[in-house]
Amino acid sequence: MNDDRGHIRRRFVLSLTMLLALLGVLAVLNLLIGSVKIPMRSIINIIFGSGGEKMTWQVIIMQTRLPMLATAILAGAALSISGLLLQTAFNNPLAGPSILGVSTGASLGVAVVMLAFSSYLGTAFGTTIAGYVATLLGALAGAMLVLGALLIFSTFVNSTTMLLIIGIMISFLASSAISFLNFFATEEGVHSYVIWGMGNFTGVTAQQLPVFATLIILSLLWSALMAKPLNAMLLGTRYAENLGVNIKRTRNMLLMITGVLTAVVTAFCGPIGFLGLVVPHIARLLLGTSNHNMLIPVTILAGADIALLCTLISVLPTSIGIMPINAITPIIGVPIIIYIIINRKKIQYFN
Amino acid sequence: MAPILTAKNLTVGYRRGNETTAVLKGLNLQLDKGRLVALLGTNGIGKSTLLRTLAGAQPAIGGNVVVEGEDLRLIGRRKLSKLLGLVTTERTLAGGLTVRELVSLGRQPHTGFLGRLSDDDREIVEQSIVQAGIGNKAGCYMAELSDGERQKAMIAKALAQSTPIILLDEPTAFLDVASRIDTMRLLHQLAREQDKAILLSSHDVSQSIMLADDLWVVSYGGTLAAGATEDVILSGALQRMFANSDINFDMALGDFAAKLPATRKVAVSGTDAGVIHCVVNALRRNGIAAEVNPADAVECTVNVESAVSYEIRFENQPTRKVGSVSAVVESLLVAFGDVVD
Repeated sequence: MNDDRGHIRRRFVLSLTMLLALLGVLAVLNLLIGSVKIPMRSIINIIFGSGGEKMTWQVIIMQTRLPMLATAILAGAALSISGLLLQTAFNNPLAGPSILGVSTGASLGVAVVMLAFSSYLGTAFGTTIAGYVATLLGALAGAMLVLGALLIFSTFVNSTTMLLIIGIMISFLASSAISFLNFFATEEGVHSYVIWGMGNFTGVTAQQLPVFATLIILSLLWSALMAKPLNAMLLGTRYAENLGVNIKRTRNMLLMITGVLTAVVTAFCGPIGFLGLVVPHIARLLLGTSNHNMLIPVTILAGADIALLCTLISVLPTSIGIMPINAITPIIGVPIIIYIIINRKKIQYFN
Repeated sequence: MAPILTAKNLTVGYRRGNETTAVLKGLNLQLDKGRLVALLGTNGIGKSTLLRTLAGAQPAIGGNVVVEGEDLRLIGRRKLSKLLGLVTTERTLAGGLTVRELVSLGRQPHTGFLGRLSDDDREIVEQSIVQAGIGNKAGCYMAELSDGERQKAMIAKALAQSTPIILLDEPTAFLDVASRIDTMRLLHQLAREQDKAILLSSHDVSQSIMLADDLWVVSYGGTLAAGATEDVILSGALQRMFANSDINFDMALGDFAAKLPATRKVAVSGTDAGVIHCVVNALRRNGIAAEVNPADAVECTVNVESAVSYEIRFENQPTRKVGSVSAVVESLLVAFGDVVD
């Protein structure tokens, strides 16, 4: 008898090891590369607190590069898991937080806070605690609004493809609202909104990082606990229901997790596209299974890796500054999506 | 032994707001362990609605369903998933799971919060795969299987669920003839050997008649006749399945056949049932009502001696011998004057 268990297990362990090793390499490169050259030994000294290094270097590593590294890892993992959960919840491999309008909803929330209330909260985002809490809440409200609308539509629109298109339409509506806000906002507000909208992983300060990290890690843990109902949902709602899964509750929980993850990342880093759509596919292709027990950890790691890769590319032209992340994610994401669409007949999980 | 599932005065249908649409009314049904039941009826008559209602996926509009002595409405989701396994034609995203992973999902009602499989669970999964007849495909991806094999994998999933009842919504709908027969044979065998109560909806009348212990036939008007297969057939319930009176249930064939216009009557006799069947069919197609033991007098008798020898006897005429079914048809048509030489 041909045995898949050992084979799939081996692929799982191999993928995890490979992705972890890659994460290590990318993390080191991210710490090394930047507008200021800092030698490896000094970086190690600074991180492990042996002291004696230049003050400016300490600030660069501890206040800029390390928070950015952590932000990229967490944001990449968060968006990728959002994509995976949405793809399974909506039974559609082309779902993702940016496609379904969740990111745009969060952006609308941020836009309302940044453009309409900027005078009350200080001009630039994140300079005051009130400012970033308001942005976070705005993003959360926006994301939940879109998810809620999708949920309501899903009760009378059965086709997941149609639901996906409704998501895209909602996304257009949110974009239109954002344009209105931009039109009536102050120049300063528009400028900070545009910069935010290009996406970057530098938006989380060392002081904000604990909040950012806690919210994301808790949501990721929660998603890991959903592996059992997620697997049942691969069979469709009728089968899942017959296996004892409370479909409504599970779907609500999945949307909650997705909403929190997307909103937190969007509030701090801007609406970052493609990671949520692409990474779950990379994980499935790597693993050769749709089993969420293995898919969730591999998606988290692969998401972190790809986000770090994008960050690395964004800091490469060191003298000019940091390039927006949203300029880079499509370059990595689009070829993969097109490859997957072209080869969908050969890719098992599509059939 | 008490039936494992009984429906009393059950009305199934849809509820939209305060409005209810009854699809099937006043049903009194039962499922017994060890018996295979086939639910027959035309498209859209309410077979799926009935199945969904019995599976607890949709509330009944009236009456009640009792499973193992407990009212279906009071049975929790978790408990129901251990009583009743489902196989549907729903589109799945399971192509990226191996058969073994898919069948393992059937153990979910029995596993804990994280869904970890115990050694017992794994053992049951392996057994279910073998019992469903796809032991050689256990490690294959669902996407690599044929339609028939995929159906068997879903049946294995239902077996792994270890439920006394299995409901299948048109399990043979998309299958070719060989897989259809194979699937029906498998279900028949599982009902017998595993002592399961199995209910399937189907369009495959001849296979259902052959292998189902009971039939539930929904007539065109929406009444349901239930009972042991032969009792239901002899009650004429199958005849009422279609509104179209040109479709006739032929007891000898064990299937539906188009009613063809026939003006002449011919008797067919002989010992080889297979050849007789061919002759009858060929004559009917050509507008001659052929019957094996006709009640009333006929103008002509065709006696089948073998597949290559047929006697044609008209009253008051010498017997003629021909060597093939087509020759029989031709000579009868000539004799009846329908073909002008």
